[in-house]
Amino acid sequence: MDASLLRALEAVVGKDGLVSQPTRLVPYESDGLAILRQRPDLVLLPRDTGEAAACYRLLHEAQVPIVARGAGTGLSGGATPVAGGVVVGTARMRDVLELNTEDRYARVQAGLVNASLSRECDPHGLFYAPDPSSQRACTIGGNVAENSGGPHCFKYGATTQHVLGLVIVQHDGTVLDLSGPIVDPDGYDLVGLFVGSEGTFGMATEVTLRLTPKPPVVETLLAVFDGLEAACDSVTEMIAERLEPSAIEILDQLTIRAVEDSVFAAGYPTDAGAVLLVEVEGLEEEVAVTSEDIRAIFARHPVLEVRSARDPEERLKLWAGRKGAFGAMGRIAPDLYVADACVPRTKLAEMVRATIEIARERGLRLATVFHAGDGNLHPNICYDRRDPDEVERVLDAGRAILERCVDAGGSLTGEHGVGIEKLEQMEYLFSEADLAAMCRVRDAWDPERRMNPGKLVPLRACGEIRAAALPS
Amino acid sequence: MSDAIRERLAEIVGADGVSTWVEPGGRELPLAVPRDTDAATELVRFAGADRLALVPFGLGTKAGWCSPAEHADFALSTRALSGILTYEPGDGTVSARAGSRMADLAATVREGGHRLVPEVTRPAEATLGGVVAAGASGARRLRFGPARNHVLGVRALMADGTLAKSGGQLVKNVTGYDLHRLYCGSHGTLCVLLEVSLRLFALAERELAFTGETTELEVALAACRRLGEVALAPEVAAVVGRGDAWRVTAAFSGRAPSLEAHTGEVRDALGELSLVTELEGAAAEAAVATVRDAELAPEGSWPTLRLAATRSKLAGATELLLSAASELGAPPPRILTHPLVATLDARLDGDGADDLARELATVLAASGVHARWPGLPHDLRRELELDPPAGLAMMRRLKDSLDPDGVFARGRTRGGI
Ligand SMILES: Cc1cc2nc3c(=O)[nH]c(=O)nc-3n(C[C@H](O)[C@H](O)[C@H](O)COP(=O)(O)OP(=O)(O)OC[C@H]3O[C@@H](n4cnc5c(N)ncnc54)[C@H](O)[C@@H]3O)c2cc1C
Repeated sequence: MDASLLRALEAVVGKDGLVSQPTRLVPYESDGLAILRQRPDLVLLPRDTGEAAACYRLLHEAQVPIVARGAGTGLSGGATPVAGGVVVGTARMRDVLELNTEDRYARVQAGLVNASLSRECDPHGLFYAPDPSSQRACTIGGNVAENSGGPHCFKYGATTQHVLGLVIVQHDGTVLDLSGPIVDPDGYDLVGLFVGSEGTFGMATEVTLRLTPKPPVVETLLAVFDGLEAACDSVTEMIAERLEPSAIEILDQLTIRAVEDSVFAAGYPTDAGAVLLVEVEGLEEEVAVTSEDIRAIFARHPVLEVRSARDPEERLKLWAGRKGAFGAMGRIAPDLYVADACVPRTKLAEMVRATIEIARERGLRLATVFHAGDGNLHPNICYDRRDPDEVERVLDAGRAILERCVDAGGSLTGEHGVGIEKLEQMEYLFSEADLAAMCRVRDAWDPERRMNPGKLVPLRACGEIRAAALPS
Repeated sequence: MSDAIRERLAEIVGADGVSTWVEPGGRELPLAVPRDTDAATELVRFAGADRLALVPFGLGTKAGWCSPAEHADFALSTRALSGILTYEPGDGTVSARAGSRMADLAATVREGGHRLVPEVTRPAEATLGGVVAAGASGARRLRFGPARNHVLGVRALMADGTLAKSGGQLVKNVTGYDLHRLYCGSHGTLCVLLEVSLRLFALAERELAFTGETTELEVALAACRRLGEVALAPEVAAVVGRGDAWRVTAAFSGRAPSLEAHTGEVRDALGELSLVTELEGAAAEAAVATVRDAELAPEGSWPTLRLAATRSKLAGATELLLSAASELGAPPPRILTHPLVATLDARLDGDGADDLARELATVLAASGVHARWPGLPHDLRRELELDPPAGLAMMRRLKDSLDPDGVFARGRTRGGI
């Protein structure tokens, strides 16, 4: 990289805000989708909107590609700099700028870790509802870029329903202040459009978020089944009966065993074929009747046991098992490919069967853990990235699973984003005209296509130059 | 010119599909009502090829929310493109053509145990496409959130005459950009919505509403604030009235035992009101419908002033509104407010209404709330809505990128988009 540009960037972010030594760049080669890697030329860590904007201005003048990065927990390769260039990270932007308990919103820097926000507002009886399983590491900026979900988004909705405003650094370094938090600003919903744009529209530096009052009563039920099918059918029935718990999650046998062998051990029975974790929140009477209805549904299926968490500690433990599931799977294979697809909730059991079959046909091991209430499947394939043949089979299975879901009326991703991973399949789900509309919108934000190039919209559609992303 | 346009429109949609539409503001436009997607597509292509500008709309129930276009050659109504495409009771989702009437959709999904949201005024006429394009969030927004949260996907006719979908019919989905969120509230300036998928909600086991009266607005607002603190979360907490006659309406729905257990707290919250009445089921729904319809004046006009704010700022703005009216000796404004959502509609009338509007525009801008003037004459409205919305340059870029030739008439939303 040009020495004078480097000096100018260092003058903005200081020595501590600039990473250029090759060994220190290694962690920025990929996000959680470790199968695809590319080293950036440089990493910048600005401390606020002003510094980020100054960096973007300089990089605009030099026409360098930029990838915004939060904690790098993304699972679709979103923060992987496939075209090289500069990664601009939010690791030094972690402040809560304003906590307004009266109007129930918070204004935070984009690098704030998701779980920190709920901790900050807990004393005020409020919490930040979207709770990705990675919430102890992932950032609000990353959540905004991916429109992340989480177990409790079944009741509360994904990130987009909680973002009231944004401050955005645009491709040329100009700052777009949409910080809200007024409902229904005039004109187009730019904030809603930005959420889920996977870093291709610029960088969010500040986010205004809606805070939610904590529910007075929470009951957590664990239902144990001898197989996935019965667990899925119970969920389909809950949805058809229009019951409204706050979270509905399923873990299969391989996942249960991995969790129970790990530090996240939650007390799930290891001989179970599947467990269903259901949370019901609200007023005491409402929780009681809804739980009763849910138990009645379980009883109509071959349920082995239904347990209710006795106290908050047991509840936390049950959730720690679910949220630690991906991490725990590190015990059963060196690498994990986390697929993420959505299907109509009437087709849960059918699609889970199909994913098992697809993995079996390719000689792969599958561990399934997913947001069943939202029809968001996560068939996780265990593999070893040092085995190129297995990597090929994993990618092939991933493709086959997504195509089956699309054929069943589903989509490519429920929460992890398209990134680089599902780029090719975008053409399976969307027509040329659909993608052309997306490209036009992208062009309005980033006419030079330097913001996270090679992501989300396939190159044929946008005529984009994408560096080959090779498995390491 | 207009005759030539009418002729071409008639070729595309048939002579009986062509009539005249009087835009709010009085301009008459040739109106084409296509009966199928092909005809709608051809209309857009015709506009593109002949460099004409068209105004898409449904039945025009919310056309007054926009300014008249700077220039328009004809209007395209989606009213005849109606019907449910798929209703999946087991999945809690519905997809329908844009011209479907909200009341028809609500009746169909009700049979499957679902509630259609948003619940908007004039449901028998309001079309699904129009409601979404206007971003109308309805009377129960406090509980269900804004309209854009329920739109799962759309199929839209773009300026170049192609059909493009965004999203799908899935309750969770992040595949591609959320263009449907962009189109929601874009008032037909970016595309013609042809199909919309919505998320549905469960019909509640029990519905309750309370109404109460007071002579003081402050008492009514305080009751709403207290409603915001009761255990039973309200779906509606609204105040309607003027001068010294104010009515609070609160609505709740949910599981029967929790409603039974907590109505005492609701009554306490409403304790300072008189004539407090408790309503159940259909009567409760009717009370909410009264709030919903208070948006419109009996003769069908929209409120003069529409405010959006945060809860705390709205309280200050409401005071400003009343004191400005009394200082100028104007008749007290008629108000509909949802203080917990932080929105307010006001109707200013009498001789001094224009002066009051001018005075208010200045003080409100300084108070940090957001003011729109849908019911004012358009010249005055343009004068008052001078400050550009945040992000106007980006909005223009989006418009130019999606509709470079201005097929969808320009100048209808604030900032002239
Ligand atoms: C164990 C584990 C569990 C997970 N569970 C869930 C889950 O339950 N639900 C879920 O939705 N996801 C889950 N994820 C995926 C991931 O955590 C989310 O996508 C998360 O939002 C990414 O946040 P991040 O800060 O790590 O972002 P990164 O991975 O750093 O970046 C993600 C994308 O966001 C962009 N980006 C980052 N910051 C900004 C910014 N400030 N402005 C603009 N663009 C930006 C990047 O360019 C990239 O495209 C999980 C991941 C792991 C590893």
